[in-house]
Amino acid sequence: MSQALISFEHISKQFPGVRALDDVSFEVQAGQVHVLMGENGAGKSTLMKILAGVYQPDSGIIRLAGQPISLHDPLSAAAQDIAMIYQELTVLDNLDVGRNIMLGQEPSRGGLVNWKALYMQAQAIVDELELGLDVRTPLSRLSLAERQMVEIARAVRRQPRIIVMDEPTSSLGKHEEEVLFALIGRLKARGAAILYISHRMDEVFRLADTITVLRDGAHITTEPAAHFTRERLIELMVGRKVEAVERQARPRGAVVLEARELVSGRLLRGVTLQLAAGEVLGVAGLAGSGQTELARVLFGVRQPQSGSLWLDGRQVRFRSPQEAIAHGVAYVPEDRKSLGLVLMMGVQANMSLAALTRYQRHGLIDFARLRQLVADWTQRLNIKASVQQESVELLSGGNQQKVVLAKWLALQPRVLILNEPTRGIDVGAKAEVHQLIREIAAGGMAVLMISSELPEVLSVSDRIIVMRQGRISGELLAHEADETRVLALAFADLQEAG
Amino acid sequence: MMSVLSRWRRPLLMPLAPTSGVLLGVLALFVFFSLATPFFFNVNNFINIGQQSAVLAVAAFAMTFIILSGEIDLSMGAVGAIAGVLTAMALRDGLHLPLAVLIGLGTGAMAGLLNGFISMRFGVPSFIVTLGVASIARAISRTITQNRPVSVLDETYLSLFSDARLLGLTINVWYVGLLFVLLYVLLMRTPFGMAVFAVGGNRQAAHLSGIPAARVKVIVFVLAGALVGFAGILQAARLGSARVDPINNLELDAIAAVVLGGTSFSGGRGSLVRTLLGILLIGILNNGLSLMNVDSYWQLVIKGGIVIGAVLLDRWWVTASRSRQPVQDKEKRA
Repeated sequence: MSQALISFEHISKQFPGVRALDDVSFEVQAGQVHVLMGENGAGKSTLMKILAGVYQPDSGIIRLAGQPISLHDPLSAAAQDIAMIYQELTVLDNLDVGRNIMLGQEPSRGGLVNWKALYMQAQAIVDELELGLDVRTPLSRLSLAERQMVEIARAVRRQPRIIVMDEPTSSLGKHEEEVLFALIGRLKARGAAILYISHRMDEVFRLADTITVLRDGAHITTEPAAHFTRERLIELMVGRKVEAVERQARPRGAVVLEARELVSGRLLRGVTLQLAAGEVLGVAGLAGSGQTELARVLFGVRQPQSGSLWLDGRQVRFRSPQEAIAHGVAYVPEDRKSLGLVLMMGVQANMSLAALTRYQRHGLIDFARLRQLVADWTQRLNIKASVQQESVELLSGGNQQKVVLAKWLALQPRVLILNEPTRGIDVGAKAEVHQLIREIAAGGMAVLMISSELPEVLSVSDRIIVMRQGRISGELLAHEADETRVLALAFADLQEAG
Repeated sequence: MMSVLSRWRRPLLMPLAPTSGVLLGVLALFVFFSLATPFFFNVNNFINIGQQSAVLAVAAFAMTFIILSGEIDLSMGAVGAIAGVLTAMALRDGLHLPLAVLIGLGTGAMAGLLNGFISMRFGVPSFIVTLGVASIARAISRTITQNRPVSVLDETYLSLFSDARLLGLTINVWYVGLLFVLLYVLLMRTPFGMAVFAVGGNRQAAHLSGIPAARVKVIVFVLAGALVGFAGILQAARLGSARVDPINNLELDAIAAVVLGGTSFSGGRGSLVRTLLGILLIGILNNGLSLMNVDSYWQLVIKGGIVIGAVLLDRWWVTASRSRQPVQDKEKRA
């Protein structure tokens, strides 16, 4: 094998009380997609932040093409041709594509920006990456995926040799992912090494040339992707066998929630569905097919323009989330950081947000009962956090999501609406959340689960509805569903047209 | 940093820890003025400081609620003034005392309702709305008084809101203490208080958790307005007359006290106890500089410098203590 582009040699990093990285050594080759896998806390992000110059290792060195390099701050990393692409976009919506790509590197003449040169250079990058974007389009008119393309274009502007991508697909739809994957292919062909962090098995197996597994800060293995199976990879990450979720068709209970011809703007164009006690109804579909709008209407965030909502056979109207909650409906939104949690507050405060008025005595909050409740749920959901103190901002994605779930489960709702319940959380926590969803459904709750991850929809649901352009394009029972059939329904329009 | 909420059951003084910069500032000023002027270090002067700071304290409590809920109120000085003016005019025109006081409080509450309602109903930033309301209120006060002080001669009023003493302390200090306890309980022990933190911390998440975010904010504005009305009443009693100028910039001192206390300007993080520290710092500063016969314009310069310096010190302190903690968020995205 030729000389490695990057060698990590005996990298260790200690934070007070946490051994983040313990003597990690492996190599990354040029022209490859090298996937880093591991549960939260395994050390992936710490290692990448060391590569980005954000953290300094306590010991060990990094070699770039054989030469030891020192990365004492993010600027020195950039100078070494290392580009980072994070999950959160850093492009500016108020500027156009060209100005975003050239931000901070605007060509100038006599102290003034040379706009012509700027747009030409930007166009050259756009063309090279085959993005098919007009450099004068304002970013505010682009889709999320297109903005991410701009983010990547900006990162690769200087022809970096190493590109780190941290869960780049977590907010993309199926089609948008394809665009990203094609771009990754072109970057690879240019000889760049792509270090890729993801929790999604399907894309890992699709993209990876090489996979490195980290666990608890230690390097477990680095091997060609072909050496791994899904099961083996999970075992290596978790360090134990993860049991597959039990799949068995269970009898449906009585219909709890019923929607008839719900219409809301262009996003929801007439949706009729029934949700029974004790079932998990999966909602699949391409991103932006109206799933989130459906959830928002069912939870009273949005008022439908027409159609009706029935609870236990009686018509209801939710004019606010408050009213929905009062009727026993709960909603876990798609983005826990911006919609699900108050990040600066602690576990206890976040868990009790929806129940503030239920735990009071003489107008004051009954903290003793509240603490008990929080302790119970923390234990039941296996939340790793010191309950009394931590601001939830510091928790891992999986623990954050469990806090959001606990907030609602503590209310003992009759209908639980989940929107992307495991987005961006690691394999172990994901399995736990899936298990939990099955359990609460078995306990008689009616669960509506929206997810853009097909394996999740397929493995957790009893019944699956597929949405397309604001309508339900088909319904499948779990045992007759597979990826092909779901995708066929999600894409049905394209097939008809083609 | 840690949320105050997660410290619910901790001792009262725990929230002071992150504000050590300001605590140091208070102590430093205290020592400095004790050495610099012979008039500073005596009990009567301490009582004076309390009395002089009462109006600011009430406004700063109100501002704490406003800022915690993620809003801002720039109309406090103007609203306090119009409340004081209307109360004084009502007394002058022979209205009963309780009614006159009610007019003052009601004026404040109405102004708060106006601030909150316009801001929430139409989505106009409170910065703009309260700036407009301030301008209107100030103009009305100046017009109806022809920009002359309205004297307050009612002995009961003066005694009830300024001069009466209990255990050596003037009555307005007792009001401040009483309000502090009530507001502290409201903020830290009731569902409403929790909602204020939640709405300021993440309005959308609060809304999706069934907290009526807009309503909570409007209530905060009304509560703050009533408090500011009360501040105007105290001010009129202390000076024996009501007019615009003495408390025209009340909101600026109030914001300074709140921010000095370490309450986050972006909402959701902070505490009333810390605001008390900020009030103390400004109170001691005002008092000490006057005792040293510092020119009143120079006082403003020094005050501005110290406010900025204390906040810088505080920020430095926070950064320094953060870098000593484990960086647990390093894995949060992975």
